[in-house]
Formats: sequence, C-alpha cells, structure tokens
Amino acid sequence: MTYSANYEAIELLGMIGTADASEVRPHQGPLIDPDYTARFAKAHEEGGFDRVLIGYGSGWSEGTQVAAYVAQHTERLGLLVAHRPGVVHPTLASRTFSTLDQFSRGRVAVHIITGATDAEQRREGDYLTHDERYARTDEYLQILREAWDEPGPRDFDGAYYRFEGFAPQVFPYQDRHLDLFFGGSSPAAYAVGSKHADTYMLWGEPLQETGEQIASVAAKAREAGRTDRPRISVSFRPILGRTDEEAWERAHGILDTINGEAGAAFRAKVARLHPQGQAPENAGSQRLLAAAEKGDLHDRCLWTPTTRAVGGGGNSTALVGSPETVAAAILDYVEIGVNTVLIRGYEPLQDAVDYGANLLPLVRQEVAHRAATRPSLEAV
Amino acid sequence: MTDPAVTLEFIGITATQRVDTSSGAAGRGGMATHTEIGVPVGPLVNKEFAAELAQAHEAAGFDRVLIAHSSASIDGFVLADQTLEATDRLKVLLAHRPGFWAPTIAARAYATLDAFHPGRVAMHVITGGDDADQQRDGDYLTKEERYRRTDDFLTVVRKEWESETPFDHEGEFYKVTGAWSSVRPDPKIPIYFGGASEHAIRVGAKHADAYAFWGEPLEGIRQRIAEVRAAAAPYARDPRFSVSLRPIVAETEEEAWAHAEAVLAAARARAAANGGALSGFGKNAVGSHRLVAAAERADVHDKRLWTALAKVTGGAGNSTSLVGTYEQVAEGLLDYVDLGVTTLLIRGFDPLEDAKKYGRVIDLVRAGATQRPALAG
Repeated sequence: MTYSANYEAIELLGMIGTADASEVRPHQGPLIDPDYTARFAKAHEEGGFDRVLIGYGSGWSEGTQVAAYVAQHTERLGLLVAHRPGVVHPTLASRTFSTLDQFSRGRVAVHIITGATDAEQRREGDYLTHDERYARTDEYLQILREAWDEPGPRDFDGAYYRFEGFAPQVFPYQDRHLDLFFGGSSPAAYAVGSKHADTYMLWGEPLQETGEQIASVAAKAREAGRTDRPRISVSFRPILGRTDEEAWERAHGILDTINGEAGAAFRAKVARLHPQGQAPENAGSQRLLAAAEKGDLHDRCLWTPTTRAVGGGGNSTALVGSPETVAAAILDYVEIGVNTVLIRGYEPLQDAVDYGANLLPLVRQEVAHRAATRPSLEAV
Repeated sequence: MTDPAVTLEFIGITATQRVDTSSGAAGRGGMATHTEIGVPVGPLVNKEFAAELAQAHEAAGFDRVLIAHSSASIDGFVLADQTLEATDRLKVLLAHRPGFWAPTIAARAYATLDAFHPGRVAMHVITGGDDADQQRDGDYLTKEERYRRTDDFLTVVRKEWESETPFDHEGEFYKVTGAWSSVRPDPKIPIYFGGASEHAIRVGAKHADAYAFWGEPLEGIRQRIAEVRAAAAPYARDPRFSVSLRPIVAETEEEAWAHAEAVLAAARARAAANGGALSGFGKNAVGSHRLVAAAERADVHDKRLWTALAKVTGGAGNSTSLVGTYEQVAEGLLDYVDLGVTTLLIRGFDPLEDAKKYGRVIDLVRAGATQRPALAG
C-alpha cells in the first residue's frame, strides 16, 4: 500500500531553545536568556512557522515554563512541548497542559518522548527498561487523553498508574482536541505511538527509509483499530545558500566546525548522553547512522556526514542547497505522505529568519500549486 | 538598619475565576474554590481576571502572592508565569505537593520560572493532609510516609539546584544516577513549609526557610514557634514564621462584625446548598483539628480573632479572621509580629475587593512595625 500526497494542512515546525547555542555555536553565558528566548520565538512567528518544538533534557530548562513564557511573548505561534512520561504523574501533567492551553488560548501540543537512553532516564530516577518505558507510556497517554476529553471523576488501575476519583476542573481551551505528537523508531515505539499519536515524528532519513517507517506506523495504527494513520512529521537541518554551490560551501564549513574545536563542547554533551565509544541505544539514532554509512548524499540533497560527526545524536541530517532545491526536497517528502516538516538550523536564530523569508514561502507556494493542479482525487 | 531577613512580608493569593459575593448570588449553584462564600462567574481560567487580581495585590503593597494547589486545580506553574508577567515586582509563592513530579524536574521547573523572573519565585511545600485528595492524583502513602518522602524530595531538589557536577542520590523514595541541571538558581529559591503534625515539624525544621501556620490564637502560635525553633536548632536553621489570616475590615468595628456575621451566614448557606459541606479546600489533619478545637472553645480569641467559620468548614483551609477597623486589624496583626512572625498571609472572602482594601492595613502594619522589638534587628 502506498500513500499519496496529502497537500492539505501541511504544517511547518521550527524549534527554539533558551540560549544561543548549537553544534557550531558553543554556548556561553546563562542557560536561560529571556530576551533571546523571546526573540527566537518571535522570529519563528514572524517567519510564518506554525509551531515550535521546545525540547526536553534532564539537565535543561523545564519546557512547560519555557512554553508559558514564550506564549506571553507571541500571539499565534503554536507550542509543541516535549514531555517524558514517568517524571510527572499523568493526572498532574494533564492539568499542566490544559492550563497552558487555556492561557495560550489553544496553542499547545505535547510531544511525547519516552526516553532515549537508560543513563539519561536514571538522571531523573527512572530505572525501567526500554520496553517497560513504552508500556508505561501506553498507560500514560490513555490517562492524558481521557483527562483532556472527558469530565471525571474517574478511577484508573493499571500496571504503572493507579488513582481514584480524579476530577479535574480544567480542560483544554474551548474543549478542543489537544494534539499528541510522538517520537520513537523501535518496535515498542511503533506499537504505542501508532495507537495514540496525532502526529508521529521521525528524524530525516532518506525517502525510502522514511517510506518504510510510514508503512510501519500505518500498519501498527491499523492493528490498534484506527481507521486513520497518524500524521507524519520529519525533521531536518536545512543548510541554505543563495545558490546550491554557496550552500555546499557552507555545509562543508559547518562540518569542519563540528569536527573542530568549536564542536568539541557539543560532542562532549552528546558523549554524556551516549557514553564514549558506545553506539547509541535509541533506534532513531541507529537508523540515522545506518543511512550515513551508505553514503554522504541521498536523494535530491539529503546530506548525512553531520550525523556521523555527532555520533547520530538526534535530528542531525541536513538538506543542502538553494531555497528552491531544499523546497523541492521537502516536497519530495510530502509526495510520500509526510504532513509536517520540522526544520532548524545550525545558526539557530539567523537560520529561522532565513527559512521564514526564503524557504517557507516556496514550500507553501508549491504545496498550493500541486494541490490546485492535482489531476483528480486519487484512491488512498 | 533592619536586617533584611526580618523585613515584614505580606502575602496575598491568586485566583483565575471571578466570584460574585453579593447577597443576590447566594441562591445560585456552583462553588468557588478560593472563597467559602462566592459563586463563580465566567470561565475557570480567566486570564484578564488573574492579571487584574495580581496587579491589585501589587498596587496594595503586597510582596508576594500564594498560588495554591489541589488535585482539581489548574497548574500553578503556568499561573505563576502569568502572574509574574502581569506585574513588575510582585513575587509568587508557588505551592507544590511532593510525590507527583520527580524532584529533578520539579527543581528545574522552579529554576526555569525563576530564570525568566529572577528572584521572584519561592516554593511552598505542602505535603498533603487529606488522603482522598492525594489518591485523586494517585498517591496512596500514609501521612507519615508522605512526610518522609517530602524530606527525601527536598534533599534531591536542593542538590539539583546547587550541585555543579553530576550527583547520585539513593534515598528511601528517590534514587537518581548522574543527575545534573545546568539551570541553577542564584540567589537560592526560598522554601516555605506548612504542616502542623510532629512529622511536619521534624521535616520542615530541616528544610524550611519559612514555616507557615494557620491563624491560631496567639498562645498557640507562640507554642508552635518554640517547637519549630527547637526542632530547627540541630540543623543550625532559623526559619522565619508566617501566619495566615482572613481579615474582615470596615470603617467601624460594628460594620466589620456585621460583615463577619454575613460571611458566616453565606458560608452556612453555601454549605447547605452543597450537601452540608464546603468542599474543595485543603484539609490538613492536625492543623484543621487545631482550628476546630479553638473554634469550639470560643468564637472570639485574644482581642479579635474570630474562629466561628472553622465550625462550618471543618477547619479546612485557613479560615480564621481578625475582625475590626483598619487600625484594630493592623494592631491584631502586630500582636503576631511581636511573637516573631514576619510573614503575614492575608486573604479575604472577596478576593479582588479585599486585596484592594488590605493596602491600608499593610501600610498601618508596616508603620507600626518599626517600633516592634521583634523587628528592631
């Protein structure tokens, strides 16, 4: 079964942090810079992004607080808050996100990340195994969904959570559906995420591997009794230039910087997550590294040496080229059924401005063009 | 110069929903969670009202506002951010119940809030006195166990706030390996602590920067201060003390007492309309018992501490009032200051109107306090 493009409701996401830092920009100064955080978010809003992801790490600023602050300094930008089940009880977490949704007037979505490595989980006191974590996430998401959608009081008696008489007073803004995003590329992740996710998030693999993941998610969604499959999001690190040549020159400069002294701080941080000399534990990073092993350049302009340089750590594959080339590459993913694209740069603030001015309009224009000129409704 | 550690501090309270406390509202349904006598009006989360109430506190001269917590309430962290954004210098006292957030992420959430609003955040630790409300959020520990967990929780929170290198912790309730936060508050986030049982005092004495009591008669507070000081001494701690009261003020004493009677009648009517009980207020087993015991001895204690309402509420929440003119209520508050209390949490029955009124009380207490021995520094 193949999935044809769905041109409706294509969503373009960015990502923010609370300080000026990336693989090529060693961080200096306080970890939370309120002015920078607000500027970074506004750049996304002004650039026409639909939402921004706010990440999660055991040593980072806490995301719901960042989201609350950003909501006060923007008007319409959506907020996708990364959240790990297991560190907060789900009944409280449901109220946190409902409250945030109320005060931001319906701008919140939650990105569920079940955990990448045992070491990172243990920093916050979570000693479950990988598959147990996903079983817990399954319960957790059932509790969240019901807490948001149906008035209590209710009881729950599961393997990981138990409570009696939970009756929250607060619900999402105007009783709307609060979206769950989900990440994870292991078999355990597919089974749980395909059941609960509104949007399933993938890192930027080549088209063929992405197609395989979409098929896995779709199959698991059917097994879970869903009639739809989750929307699919793919994340990239576009490196733009005025021309393709300029972009490639920039890309090689970025790779040199990551491999050089400036990247050392970032590599040390990744080493804290993935202990030195060991392969990453998470399937998503393993898949990125496997793609990188096959070659440096994939499809139209997907470039993976940056992934190797950071040991597979997270969203790290680049789309390199002029805005026209990168827009065309993004559309290639839309054609295989991708609904949402998350892009963030190596020069985080400057790139967000650049994407907003030069890349997003091209993507939206081309999506609209293809939607209008599509021959007829195809069978899905 | 007065030692900044003993500067008087006034704390009010936030809310997100308007209430109608007029007599005409008494027959209507609904229950406001932040006053015993009001009827809720409009949405539960009213952003503009929350901002207006916070600004009214700031204008009245309050230092801080409490953001309360229950199993049904909205999330306090988000309301804290709203409150701090809506004001310029007002601080928050954000209530937190240990047991539902991992201590590492709770610590980072407070630290993140504090980083966006430097120096304006304090943590109020409430361990929970009501088993049923704990179970609504999935907590089945006994009260004694809960206090042991609070001890362990606060130990990890402090390490997460202070440790410059990764740390391990293995306590009775929490175990972490290699925990470390890059967000570390400086200056430190103060910890306020409530709880009246012996377990509470044992744990609070170890961790509290401020120890909070409900408004008992003066003699009770004198005893409690002595108990907490004795328990804190082995840790070389000398917490400040907070007392919570619900002042009822008017231009004349007669008017104030008439208003107190009206509050009592309205609370009784609301209790009757809700099946004989006022629900939705935090119970605290020992603290509630002490308030009810005081109420059973007499309706009025000391000069003007009015405890009749505790009989209607069952001692849930802080429910005792100083009743009188602005000058009399200020004098009543200063009697607590004389005992060593330097934080006064005052909230009314009509949140917005009372916050505005209290400005005059605050001015009178601050003026009177300059002559008090406890604050002579």
